[in-house]
Amino acid sequence: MKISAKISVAVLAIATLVAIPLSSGASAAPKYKAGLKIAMISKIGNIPYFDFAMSGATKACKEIKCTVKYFGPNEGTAAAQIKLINAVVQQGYNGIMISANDKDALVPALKNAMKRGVAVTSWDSDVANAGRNIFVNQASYDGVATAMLDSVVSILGAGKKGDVGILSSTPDATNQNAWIASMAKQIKANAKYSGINVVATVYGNDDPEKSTTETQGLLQSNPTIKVIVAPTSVGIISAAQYVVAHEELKGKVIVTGLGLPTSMAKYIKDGTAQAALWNVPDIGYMSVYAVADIASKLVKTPVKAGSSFAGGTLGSRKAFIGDNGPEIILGPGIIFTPENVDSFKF
Amino acid sequence: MIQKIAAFQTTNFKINAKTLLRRRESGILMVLVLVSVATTLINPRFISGYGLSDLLLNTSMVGCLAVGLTPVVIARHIDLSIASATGFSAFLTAHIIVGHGWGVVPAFFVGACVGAIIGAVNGVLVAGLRLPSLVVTLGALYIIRGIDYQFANNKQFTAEKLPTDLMHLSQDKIYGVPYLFCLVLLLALFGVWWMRFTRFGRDLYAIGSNPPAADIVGIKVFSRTFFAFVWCGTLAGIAGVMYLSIYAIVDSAAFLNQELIVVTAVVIGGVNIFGGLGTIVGALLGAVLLRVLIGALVALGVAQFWQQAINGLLLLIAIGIDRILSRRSETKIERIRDERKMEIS
Repeated sequence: MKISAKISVAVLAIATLVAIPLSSGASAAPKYKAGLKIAMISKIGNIPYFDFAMSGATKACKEIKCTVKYFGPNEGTAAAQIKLINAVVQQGYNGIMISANDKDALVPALKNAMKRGVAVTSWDSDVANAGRNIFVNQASYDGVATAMLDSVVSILGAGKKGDVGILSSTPDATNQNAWIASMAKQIKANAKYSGINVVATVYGNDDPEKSTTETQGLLQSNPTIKVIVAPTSVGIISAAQYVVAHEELKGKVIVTGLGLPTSMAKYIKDGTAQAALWNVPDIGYMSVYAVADIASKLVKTPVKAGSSFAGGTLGSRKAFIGDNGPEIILGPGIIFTPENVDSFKF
Repeated sequence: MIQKIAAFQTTNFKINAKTLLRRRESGILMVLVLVSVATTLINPRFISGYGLSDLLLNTSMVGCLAVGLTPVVIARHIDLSIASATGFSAFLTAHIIVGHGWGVVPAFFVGACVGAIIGAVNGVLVAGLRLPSLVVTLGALYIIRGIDYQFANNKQFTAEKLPTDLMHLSQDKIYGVPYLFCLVLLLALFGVWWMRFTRFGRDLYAIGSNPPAADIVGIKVFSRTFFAFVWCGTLAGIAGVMYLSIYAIVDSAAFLNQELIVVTAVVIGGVNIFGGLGTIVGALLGAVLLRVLIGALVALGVAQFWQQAINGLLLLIAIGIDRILSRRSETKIERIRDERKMEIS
């Protein structure tokens, strides 16, 4: 009795000693459940964007000693993702981080996963609140829209008027529609953007061929366009390539939007395009921490406003209740310039 | 009977104002002019400036593939793996030339070889083992795309890495005609010679008109059919390199699900889906018409759903016209046959 009491006091003392540096420092590794298995499900398995996110996820997993596996469906549909969700639940994964192809269709499968004790975070593209514990948002919709509008203003010149065309991905893409809506809202509300006149929005379906045809049609129907805004990493390349391929357009039409620095470097350096994006590896990194926090019960579910999520070397994030339930935001985006573009490896 | 049909077709090739007007190709050409003029009246930029060369550049890939697919369809076969072969050739070519630092000519050589190998495998299965081409190439469609996914493994090649010469190739033109479209014209010219003036090509028409009869009269069905698939694969490979040149980006989803666009172009161009009828020129015109129509609808700002619906409608009209024409030529053949019978008796 005595000995065990002594031991428990000692253990308590040690625990307190350990706990003090834990709560203040970044080396938070020991408090996570050992052997967590996390499944990262992307929208579609063939684009580098998700590979770069995966590199961040792997890094985070090394730090907290979990394993993460990448699952990319062959086609960008909800049905393909549901199959993957059911499969990973059966295989005994503790956490799912998913970039959703559909807001509602995935909810039943994800609900079932949570019922079985699997922690679910959506990242990159959100699902309805009932289908996830938390959404790791790369940047607020308004923040992304502002970055793109600022870029347009820098091309047109402050206070100048100019026609702008938008080349989006699919007509029902959640993120793109939210960004486009936010841009429209800010153009109306903010005098700084009042010169921007959006004349048309076209959809390239994230397919190079279709995006090129649509860019062509956009400029044929609206020859006054000075800036093309492409809030998609596929469309922006097609638009930039179309402008590069036409002497007549060089310097007259500038492309901007969201793009990966490695694939946009050439166009950014020759002045054809500008581009902005959040740090892609970081969003994978942050999502692993979020899903591990919930799976290890370090954050209680349902997540309340003000709950703190550890973020490894990125620092912690406080949850808040967004339009669609609890979320955390990664942080401001990065605007790529001819000077800095080569320093990003994603 | 085959020879009679062939004879009927050769007589039909004689240049004659009346038959020229009645030919299927002239019909497509007229629709083409009509669509272009109408669109240009509404939006002059459709043709002026760089509009026309853009249209031709857009047509290059589907045109190349239509020229490739035509001999296969004429032999009463189909190649559904054509778009997968194009996509795979695009990625593999990019991978190889970027790795070795090669330029334009080796790129086309590599692409053509990749395509030819795929075509040869299809050819052996269809012509050698006599398996139905629909099933064989449907399987190939998935297998090739699957290999592409595994091989590409989320990677992509963009303008940053691809050779600059190859990118420039799609921008260069002679008198406003892009080099790539000139390449398609050269390939089509070879195809026309092959299909119209060689025994080899005429045999394909015979095989497509009546496969058992072609066997009985001793036509080399295996080598003819096999080579048609190799030709189709090779052109798919070349189209893959064009994809790299035009879009300056390639991943494993390149040209995904585009096989039916090619089939549509070929059928609109008057090639009978049941074999035995049609020309390479017609298929090429079909591809141009299809792309001009897509371009016109985009230039006029028509919504996406209608663009696809109109393509479908065009296909149905084309098949309808085919039916009417083939019924007319059937009655004509019967009349000739009856006349001959009377002569003999």
